[in-house]
Amino acid sequence: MRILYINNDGGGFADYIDLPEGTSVQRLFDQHIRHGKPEDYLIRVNRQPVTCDQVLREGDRVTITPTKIEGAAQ
Amino acid sequence: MKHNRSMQLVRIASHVHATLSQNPHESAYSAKLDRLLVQTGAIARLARRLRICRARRWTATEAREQGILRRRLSDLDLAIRRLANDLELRGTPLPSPRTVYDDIRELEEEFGEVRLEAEDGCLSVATEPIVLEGVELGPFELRLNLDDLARGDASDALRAVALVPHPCATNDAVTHPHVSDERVCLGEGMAAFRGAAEAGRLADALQIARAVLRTYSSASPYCSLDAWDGRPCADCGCVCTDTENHWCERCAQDFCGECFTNCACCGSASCVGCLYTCPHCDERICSDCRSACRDCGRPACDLCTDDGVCLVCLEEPEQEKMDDEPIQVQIGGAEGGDTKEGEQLHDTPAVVAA
Repeated sequence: MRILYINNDGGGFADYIDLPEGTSVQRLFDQHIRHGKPEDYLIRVNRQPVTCDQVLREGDRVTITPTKIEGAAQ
Repeated sequence: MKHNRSMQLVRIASHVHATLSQNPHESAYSAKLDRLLVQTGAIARLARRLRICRARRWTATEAREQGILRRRLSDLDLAIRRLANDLELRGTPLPSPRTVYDDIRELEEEFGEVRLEAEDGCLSVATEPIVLEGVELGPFELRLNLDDLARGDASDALRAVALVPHPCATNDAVTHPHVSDERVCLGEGMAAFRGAAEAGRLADALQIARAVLRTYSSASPYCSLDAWDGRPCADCGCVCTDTENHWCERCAQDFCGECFTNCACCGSASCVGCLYTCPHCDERICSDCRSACRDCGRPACDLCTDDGVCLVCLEEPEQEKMDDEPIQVQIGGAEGGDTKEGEQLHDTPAVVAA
């Protein structure tokens, strides 16, 4: 199945990716966010906040945004 | 009521979509392309001049031309990267009106209210009150300038306006450790913010900006939170908290512990700048404990004066007295020798007769 995956961590990423049927949000998170915990991120599927055990479906729009990002001084 | 709000959101989304669709950076892109062609022409001319210099062995001129070439190549590299970025933006499909509306809805759910400032073309949302390491910084209004976004200038499109400002003690413009003059230094969030903003994903962009405001990076703040509420020392400039600060009543200014001390005579507290150094004992003394010597007129502290006369002047008469006293000079051997009175020893050593 194909989903739109938007990762707002690090350099940012937004593209369609292929996943096996039955992939959960937790599995997607583990595959793409190597150094992080789900509780430190705002995870939305089709713009709605979800729990990690939600199973993704064809055409879903998944956004993962960190709740804390280190700023700097220019 | 809910229907009215939905209609407002539709109007906001429609305006946002129309602004982002204007694509005014088209002319900027053409200008950049023209400039790039001019730059490559200049480099071709430089290369020809270098060949001539080498053929005629004009080494000094060749070295100068090589320096110019290095600068031109650096400029060209920057121009190419900017143009490539613009090309990438042109290739990014604009979000549909429905996607923009969904983004506005998401923002409304996430932040509570979305506003469109018609005057300056800004889409704005307000954060919750931000508290970092116990320092209350208040809520911020995040403003996204849609015209800047349409120009492809995402990095300059964001402003964070403190709604209940609590700036740092040393700089009113710094309302957050990572905000100065309303500009947010996004740090690690910059790339993701630009990617989201330039693709028209406004909800993502503003959530990234909020995540930066919610985080304190002690490694690179405009002002450290440790010194947020402190006051600068009037002498050395270091920032101290209220408990570390000392108030000098003589000059009515704040000082740090290093620049504040006590008078060695009366013990009164004062800044170092308001105290004098006694030339006799080198202790720091206040003006009340300092007086001029009655004899020599030089300043001295109370501990170094007696009845208005400084220690030096007190010692001098004693020295003179000692000098005036006759010295008994032994005549003869070590034992039972006679002494003669009336001989003085001044600067010259005494003559001892055998």
